[in-house]
Amino acid sequence: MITRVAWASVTRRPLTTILCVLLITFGTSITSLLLLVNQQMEQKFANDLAGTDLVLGAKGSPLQLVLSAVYHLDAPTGNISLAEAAPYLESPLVKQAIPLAYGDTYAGYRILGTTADFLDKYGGTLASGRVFTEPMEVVVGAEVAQQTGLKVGDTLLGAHGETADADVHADHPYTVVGIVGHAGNALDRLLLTPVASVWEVHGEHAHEHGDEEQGEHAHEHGDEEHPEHEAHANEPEEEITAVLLTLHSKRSVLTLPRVINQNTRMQAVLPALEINRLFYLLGIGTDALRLLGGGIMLVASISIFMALLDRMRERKHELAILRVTGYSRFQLFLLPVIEAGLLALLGYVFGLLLSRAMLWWVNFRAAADFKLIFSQTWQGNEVFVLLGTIALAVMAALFPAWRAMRVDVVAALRR
Amino acid sequence: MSNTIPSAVLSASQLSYQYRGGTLLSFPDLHLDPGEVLLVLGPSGCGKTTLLHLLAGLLPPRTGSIALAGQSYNYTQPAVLDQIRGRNLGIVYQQPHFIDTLTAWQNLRLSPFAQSKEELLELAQQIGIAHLLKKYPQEMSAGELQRLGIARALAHRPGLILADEPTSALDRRHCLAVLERLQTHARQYNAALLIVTHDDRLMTAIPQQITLDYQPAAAQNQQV
Repeated sequence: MITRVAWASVTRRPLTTILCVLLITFGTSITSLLLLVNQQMEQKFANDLAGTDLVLGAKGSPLQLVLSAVYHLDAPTGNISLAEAAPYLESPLVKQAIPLAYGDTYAGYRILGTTADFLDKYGGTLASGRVFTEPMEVVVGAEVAQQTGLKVGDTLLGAHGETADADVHADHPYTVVGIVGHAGNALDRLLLTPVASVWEVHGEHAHEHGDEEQGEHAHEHGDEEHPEHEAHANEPEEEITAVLLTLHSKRSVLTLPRVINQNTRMQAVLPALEINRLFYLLGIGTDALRLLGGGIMLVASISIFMALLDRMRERKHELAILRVTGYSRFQLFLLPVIEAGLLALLGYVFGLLLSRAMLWWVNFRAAADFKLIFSQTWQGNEVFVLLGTIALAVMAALFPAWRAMRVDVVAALRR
Repeated sequence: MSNTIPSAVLSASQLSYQYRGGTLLSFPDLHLDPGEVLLVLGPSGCGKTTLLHLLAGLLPPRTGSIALAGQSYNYTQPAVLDQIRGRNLGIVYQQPHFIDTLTAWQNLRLSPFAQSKEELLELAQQIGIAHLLKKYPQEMSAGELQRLGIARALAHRPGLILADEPTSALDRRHCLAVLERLQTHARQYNAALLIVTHDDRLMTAIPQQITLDYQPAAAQNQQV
């Protein structure tokens, strides 16, 4: 019955209730949103890492190299010579080396020269067709297939550069030989082809596109430092963009980059380290938002405190009636506590809904930029938001509850 | 006199009370059996309301003892006292207060010891408020609230009904109607009825009455 009295007092005083619930709603939605986005970003980034210990690429910004080679979010830092990279790829320390050669784009999606290992690494299974075996064969990621309607047997022309209206390599059509099923990572947004395709499209024609900032065509013919490596002497120097390395021992993760960084024009980067750094930088913004959420929650609990105290003051005779009717002091103490709990619960539920609405908006507006879709499902640690909200509200109710418990029944009844 | 007679609903002996800095109020011994009606008369300031609060266990007396339905008041165990009061006592106030955020029906069912829904509905019909049960107190007239107040005092079938000036704000016709209603329902539930009032009009209606002495010193601490 005390719960019903509390509920009635919450629902029959809409203005105060709306104010309190609104504040809690804003506080919890910001906190929930942060939790969701942070956690899923980290998860997503960890997933796409797929066990890559090192990324080998051209010198430049290490973060850029990781973002481009592992997450396909940024332009590459430039190309490296396969000949220069080869000794490290064949090193006994290396368990697996997957070359990446960035070539063209199709409908805004990257055509990535690599090996079939890339498919396995990212957990790709073919929905139809087969894996590429010959140059100019291409396997299409799930999202690409869905967006462009490509199917096995189709041919497509790669465009040079990231935009759709860039040069089209009309003389080098790719043939779709397979479609990859949904993998939930970078694979979905790529078209995979053997590295040799990229060489075939670009190597035989000495393009001078002048888009060096894209780094995809930083060809420097005749600049070979390892002329003894002449496996393909009839072609210009074979270049790749980056290599994803998985090592046998975690210890070499620290030693190998030092060797490479000191002795070559390439750099080897620990992607995990770079991503931590990125999250550290993002963390400054998150902290500000977290403070904002906390501040709103604080204001919410102050408003609950004032609303309850006010109510206990003006409703003394109701408290007296409850006492006379047979309710104990402890039950009177519970009344404002339950009221606060109800307000917190309402605010939390609305906050949860609002955070989902905001997330939906983020997904709607920014999916293309972030290449991330955030899940809207309830995350386990959101229970801490609930507990924290209720704890704050109950704390705000303690003093009003103490006052309610101590109400002078005789004085209240005389009025 | 400190021994309680088992059949008595209420017995109070050698009660006295002193407000802080005020003079001592002493009260005559009281003994009420089920179904009995007692009028406690006295001018304003003689301590009538104080007596009512003492009998309800809301104030601890300076001296004396009270037993309600065979259970003595022990002021060191307030939770037990809350139970005794909640179970056995119904109070009709001069100005009835209700929980404003609850409907009349919810107010009627407020008591933890309230009767079943069916019995309460029957009670509401007898008192003539069955059609008002969905209303909130602020939507009801003074007369309707008065009736709701009586219904609430009876909702848990108390052994004793204490009525504090139930008629003093009413004209003669309504005064007698309210008195009639109180007596009828008290009789029906076999509850003892103790009416505390300065309303002389009730003197002729209720034979059993006591008058509290007017104590000039107490007038300085008027408590009505």
